[in-house]
Amino acid sequence: MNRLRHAVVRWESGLVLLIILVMVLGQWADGDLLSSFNLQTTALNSVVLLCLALGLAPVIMTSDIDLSVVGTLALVGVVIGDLTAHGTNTWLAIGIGLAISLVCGLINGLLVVLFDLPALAVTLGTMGAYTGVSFLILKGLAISTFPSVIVSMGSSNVTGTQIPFAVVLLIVFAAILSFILHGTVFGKSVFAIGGSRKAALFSGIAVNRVRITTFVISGLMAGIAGLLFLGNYQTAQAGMGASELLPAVTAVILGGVSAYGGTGTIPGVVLAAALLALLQSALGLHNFSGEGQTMAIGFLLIIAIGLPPLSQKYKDWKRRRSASPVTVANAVLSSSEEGK
Amino acid sequence: MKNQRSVIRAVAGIVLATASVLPVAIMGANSAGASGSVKVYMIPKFTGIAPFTQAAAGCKTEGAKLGLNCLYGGPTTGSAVDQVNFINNAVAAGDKGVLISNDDAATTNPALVRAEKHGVKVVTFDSDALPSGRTVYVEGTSTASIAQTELDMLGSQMKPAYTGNFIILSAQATDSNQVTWNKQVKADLKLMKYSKMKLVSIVNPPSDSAADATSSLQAALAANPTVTGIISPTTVGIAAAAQYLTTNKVCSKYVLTGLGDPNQMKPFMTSNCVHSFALWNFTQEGKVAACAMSAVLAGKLTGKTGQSFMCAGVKEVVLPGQTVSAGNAEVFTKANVGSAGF
Repeated sequence: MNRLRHAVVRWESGLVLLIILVMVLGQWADGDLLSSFNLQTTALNSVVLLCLALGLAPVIMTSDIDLSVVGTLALVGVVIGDLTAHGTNTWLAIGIGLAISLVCGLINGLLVVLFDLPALAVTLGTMGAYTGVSFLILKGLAISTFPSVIVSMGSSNVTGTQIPFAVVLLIVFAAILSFILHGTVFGKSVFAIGGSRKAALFSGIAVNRVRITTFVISGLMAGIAGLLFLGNYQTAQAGMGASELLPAVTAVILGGVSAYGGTGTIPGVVLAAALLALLQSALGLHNFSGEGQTMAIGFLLIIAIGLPPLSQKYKDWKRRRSASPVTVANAVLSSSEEGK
Repeated sequence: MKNQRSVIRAVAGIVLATASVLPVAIMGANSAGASGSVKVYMIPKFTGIAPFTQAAAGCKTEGAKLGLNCLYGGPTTGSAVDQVNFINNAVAAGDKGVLISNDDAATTNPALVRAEKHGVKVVTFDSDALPSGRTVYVEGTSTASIAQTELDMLGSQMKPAYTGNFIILSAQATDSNQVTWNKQVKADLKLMKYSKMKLVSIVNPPSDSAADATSSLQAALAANPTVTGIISPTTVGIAAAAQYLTTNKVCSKYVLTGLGDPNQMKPFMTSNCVHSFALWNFTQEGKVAACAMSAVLAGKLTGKTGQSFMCAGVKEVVLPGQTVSAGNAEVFTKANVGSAGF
């Protein structure tokens, strides 16, 4: 466990290095990357992505997936928008919206765990269902006026600074999630389940409850993302936020959360989201079109996923070449153990 | 220990790989254009399709004459959230103006208003923003021209002429252009000339993909057996419909028309499946957008109805709604589809 923590810390320091690299190169090339306007707007435009990624991380850590987050985001956004437009008290509307997000997450969790269905298929289905309901509520129309509380929550700065309030809010959420995942028994269970569901079950972990809880967390974070989306873009419609799903998954994986589950940290996810935002901004400032930006991010992701197993293979190969048959057998045994 | 070292190596690898890519990338990009010219940034709904590439070319050539360096870039998929990144970047880079075709007027509006607060002028083209987010809107052609051209193309081919039931194969229900055009078609149907034409259904596929357009069309035709005409005011929809009719060998049963891309539609014209469709000139639209931007930057154009400016020898006038119309819809038939300049 200690070893794993060390390793993950290294992953994060790699992300920090990359962030510094992008900052230095970007600033050197154009000089506008680190201007307060650019940092502020870039951060603001990454809020929804980060919020989704924070919720997705625990689900992916247990080796499940939740594609329905963008559906939940839209449903919550549309419900809050529709309620406030019809005169409902703002806080009540927000409460109802977030309660719905919890229910959305719970539905996913129950379907996946109780009926033992693949999360990919279930959440693909509920993504469509949640988006569909939001479409029915607004009938394809959009709402674009919201109470000032919601607008300032999503787009204003902390008084007297250039720091968006939503960013501070998300850092707080990230800290809470970090504590839950890295400092509690529940968190240990999440990683144990991601490592091996069977082993976790045999060691007495309430696998079903933990998995359902991760889906509920994911739903809630998607609901909060919906609320922040309303404030930031001042629009509510059925398709809102749909384009943020893949970038959010990208941030989670780039953050060091294994696509097979069992590893990863919340700070890693936050750093990855920051890296993606800065890289995109640096390339954009240098007049790269979307294709260039997408390619750069795809490239980064493939390296991030591909390098660890590759370097492991390379090492195994080197050891096998230099070792006697007996030590090879031992090495193979020990490496397969460590792979777990 | 082993695990740790492998991760260190992995991280080092990422850093090195990125380090080697970034400078190449930075050298490769076109950061500056003609020196001394004013930088403006053109953002399409998404990159990689002919209409926007043509609009960009128009903006570049006409802009160059006016001392504008028209940079071009946008998201790879139709994402308003991604467009916000490009708007922010343009402001941060100190560009003087933003020309944008909005994916979703409401979503980009806060970013456009913020840009205006920073002194950046905004001109929309092809797809408008909310009025608070721009000075003027350059439309490819007027809504009236599109609706009337569509109905005339369809009606004149119907047998008997201007008589029968038809459907509109549109795009996603939230597409603001489509909503406006279809509303105008409905209004025009009240005219004497079109009184025997009946719009049975407006079909909105769930996405702007050819596959969804095809399956939606198939369902609509099955549900409405009396239909003899199809108007598809999207380049994706009309091409998908033409392919569908060809595959099912029912071209003679339906009159298909709408807004299409000449290159894409050429084979269906040759095979006599489609006889006419329309489109406006995107290069011209880009040119007029560049002229409008130049006039706005010079303070000569503030969006008041009746204001005018010259563009490529033509006088452009601001219409109600702060809109400038770049020209009329051009009708393509077998005779001129080959010679289309785009």
